Amino acid sequence: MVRKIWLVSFLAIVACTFLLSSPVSAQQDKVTLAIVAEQSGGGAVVGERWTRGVQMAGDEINASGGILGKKVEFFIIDTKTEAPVAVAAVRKAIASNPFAVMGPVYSGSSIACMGLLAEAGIPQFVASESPNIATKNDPKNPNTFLSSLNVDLSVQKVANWITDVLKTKKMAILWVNNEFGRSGKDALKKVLTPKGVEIVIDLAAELGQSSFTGELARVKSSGADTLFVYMNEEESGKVLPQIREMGIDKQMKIIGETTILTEDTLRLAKDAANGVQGHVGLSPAAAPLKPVTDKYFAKYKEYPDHNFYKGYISMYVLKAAVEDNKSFDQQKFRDRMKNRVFCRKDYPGILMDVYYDGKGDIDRQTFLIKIENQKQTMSGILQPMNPGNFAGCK
Amino acid sequence: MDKINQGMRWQKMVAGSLCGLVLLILPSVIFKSQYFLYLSSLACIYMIVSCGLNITMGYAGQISLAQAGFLGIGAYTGALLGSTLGFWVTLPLGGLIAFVIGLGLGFPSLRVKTHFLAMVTIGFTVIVYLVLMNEQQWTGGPYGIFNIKKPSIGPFAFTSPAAYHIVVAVVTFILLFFAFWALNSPWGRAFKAIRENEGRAEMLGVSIRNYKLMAFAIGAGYAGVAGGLIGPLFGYIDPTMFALGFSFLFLLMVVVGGLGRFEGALLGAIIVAILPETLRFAEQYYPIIFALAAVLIMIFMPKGSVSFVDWVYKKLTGKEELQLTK
Amino acid sequence: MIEQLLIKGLSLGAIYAMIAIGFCLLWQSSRLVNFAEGEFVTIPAFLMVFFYSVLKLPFAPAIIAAIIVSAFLLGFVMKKTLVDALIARGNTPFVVTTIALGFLVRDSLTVFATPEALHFPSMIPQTPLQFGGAMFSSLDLWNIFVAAVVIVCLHLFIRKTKQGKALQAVAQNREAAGIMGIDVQKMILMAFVINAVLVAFSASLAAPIYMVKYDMGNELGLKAFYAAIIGGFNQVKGALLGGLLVGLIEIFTAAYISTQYKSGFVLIVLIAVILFKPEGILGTKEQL
Repeated sequence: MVRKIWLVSFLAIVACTFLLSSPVSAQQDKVTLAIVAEQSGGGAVVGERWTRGVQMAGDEINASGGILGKKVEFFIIDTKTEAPVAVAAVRKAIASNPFAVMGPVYSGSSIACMGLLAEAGIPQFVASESPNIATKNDPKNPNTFLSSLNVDLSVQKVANWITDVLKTKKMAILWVNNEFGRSGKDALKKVLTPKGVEIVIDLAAELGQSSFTGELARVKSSGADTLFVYMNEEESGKVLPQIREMGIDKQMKIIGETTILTEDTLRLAKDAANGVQGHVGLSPAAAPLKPVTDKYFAKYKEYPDHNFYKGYISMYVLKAAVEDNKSFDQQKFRDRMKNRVFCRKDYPGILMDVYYDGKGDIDRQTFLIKIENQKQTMSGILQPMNPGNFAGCK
Repeated sequence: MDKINQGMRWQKMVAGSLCGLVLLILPSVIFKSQYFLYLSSLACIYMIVSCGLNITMGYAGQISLAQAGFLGIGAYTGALLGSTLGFWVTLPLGGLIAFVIGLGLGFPSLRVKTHFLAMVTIGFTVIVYLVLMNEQQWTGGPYGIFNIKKPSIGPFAFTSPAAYHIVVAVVTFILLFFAFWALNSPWGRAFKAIRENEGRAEMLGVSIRNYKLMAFAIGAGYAGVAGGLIGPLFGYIDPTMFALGFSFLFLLMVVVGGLGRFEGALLGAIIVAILPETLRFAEQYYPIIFALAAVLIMIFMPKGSVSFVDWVYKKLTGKEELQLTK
Repeated sequence: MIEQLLIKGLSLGAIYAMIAIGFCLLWQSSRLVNFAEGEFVTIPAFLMVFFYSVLKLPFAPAIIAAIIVSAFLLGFVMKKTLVDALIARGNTPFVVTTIALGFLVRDSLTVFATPEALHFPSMIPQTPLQFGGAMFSSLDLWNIFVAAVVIVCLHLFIRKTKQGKALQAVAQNREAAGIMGIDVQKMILMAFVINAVLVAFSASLAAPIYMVKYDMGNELGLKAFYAAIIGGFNQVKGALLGGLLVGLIEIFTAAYISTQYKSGFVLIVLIAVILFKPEGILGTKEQL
């Protein structure tokens, strides 16, 4: 028995030494940033794009002398596209005491770990577009910052286009049953109903669903004049050919938000995507983003998606705020990010003027896109929600 | 002679369990990093699931893929009722609810073949997931539930990761101790009789169906309690944390550790929770290595990786297997 | 609307049925249940993409090559390694091993191939067709046609050839068949090879709808498993019926009952079948 105890203790000590032999310590002439993002699992693709965006901007910043003379250094931690792993990843990141955390992309993961970072006082940029992030931030001292408009704001912007330009009276919504799809559907219902648009039917699709016949049959007989597809790239890419096959695109307009217009969707849907219209925050078709788009294309031989731009721009926003403060103080950083407009003329890297409100939410120009010949083409610009905030950028 | 042996056994049992308790709590004392504390708590929670599933699978030979579902039931019980009833009520309550549902699910389905039970339990996990996802008015749907409070006793709140780990460790200890005691009781010995020879056990008057049902429900109850510990650990839960994939992972956890061996299941839990850390150089390949190891272990080492520990023990002491349950 | 749902349901069900029949053949010959059956569809799908898009083979040879390679890997290699090592220990260790194998395939594909969904063209051109109120594509008829041909061939093989009759004998009673001089191991090998060909065919039909992705097998494998149980695990015609039923239930549930609970409804049917008629709708009772 005594021997048994010795053996067990011995094994425990071995385990502990394994564990203790750890973290990275920050160096003087460098500033460490943690990229906590989806490197594997269902979100691997979007996570990788976000990571590329952050790193591309980081490389550019380092090549031009760093931030306040310090070189930017990244370490990447995988969330495996699972919220609990994201929480663990952020805990791991905190142990290395980075200046800020970039990511994750998925809303569930982002929300799950934002509390920990607020506690640790480490600012965070997320690629999530969930309207719940700003409400979960400390209203006096927001710590987590979005990198594009949240779903509620996007829908408010797009609502006028739907009622005035598309003249939609009856709308059907097809949404994917996760945080993203459900918050989009809720926002659409909330915003459009008072404007006199009747939501005749809203149908949930499963994550990764392949056959949409049952849902589309209901959409077809619903009498709607517009179908809003609020799903991830994969489901969007699968549903578009089926929409065309059932002749629904001849019966009603097919519109969507961001994901249905990305290259990933086009790659899967091919010519069935032609004619789809919608609203995007950031897209390769947007003129102001062209220089970075070309750079990305030259490097990776594909067009980026919105998550790339989000990562890229967030790095430059971080740089701008730190340089304004002339210090790497994290509390000063948070203060600087409140009710603050960053103008492109002062900070070219941010590509477009951007406004951060006092809650971590963002405002800026967005774009209307139409798919023609399997290409995204810009068909219009939507001005920011509150153009007054951008007065200083003229 | 018998009496002396009995005395010895009691001494051993007390010494062994004290030792176990100390080992479980140790991380709260030695670790400063909240990440390591989190890993330790996670390992404890996995140990509870794995220990329960081992009773279902290792001792009663039933393949259960309902564990993630039961975990979800425990976690949502804690998260939804915790603010009114308090953690100390909802934790056992979650276990109890899972136990009762386990009885209800197991009663009709244990008469069917093993792979059919696997199917029923897959169905159960999927249905629990769908309910958690779609009944937004109760469960918060895909948004999940936030700000789950850590427990407190009177004025003392276990809010720091180190303090909360003590809670997790003590709960783990109690459950493991109970399982250990039960498996060494006459009731547990009946299990072994069933496992070794079902027909003979039945002739000796063991009601196989009742034992299997009990084993299934205990596995469910353990997962329920483990679920109750998850909410405060993360401070947040959502349905994706209880998706079907985790049921498969828990199953492999027990198998990789050592099916039907008390300490094997614990080893499996530790491997799943902590080993990815030690294999950091191969982070990307870790899931592949783990799955490959599971396949190879099934083929070449049917008793699981715990038989490697046996081998080390034998080399060190010259004695037979390190087997905690006789 | 009904005819629309019917055609689409059958087209989907045809894919499930082919995989489900594979399940049944394995069960009949070896009394093993393959929990990696979904990944057995993913592998030929990736092989097709590999031969067609990477090696740039013409379309038809790419598919034939994928079928041959998958027959070798998932039939021959599988039998000689995992099955031979585990069959003596009964079904449970095999179930657990194939669960691990499923993880292994998915994780390897994400790391070494790609985590993205890939587009794969269909075998015949996709032309829209109309029949009454139903609008569908030539692909749906093609799915039903291919599945029907494959299943009829399989049926003739089992009923008419010597090998097929031997397989039937093994399915009915392995010991007796062994005593009668039938090479049971060879029959098991044959069942695994047939299964591999069936899943390769269904992969070629599923790829244009499901897109080729590392986790495409999750849903397919589960649905086929439901189909096999609902129809009857020990009858090829049961699996056929089960497959078609699962396809129809899936689409009709989404159209008439609930989109949010559509994957729950087929499970309720499944659990009801397991509890009240465990041998399946067309299955026969078997002693084990």
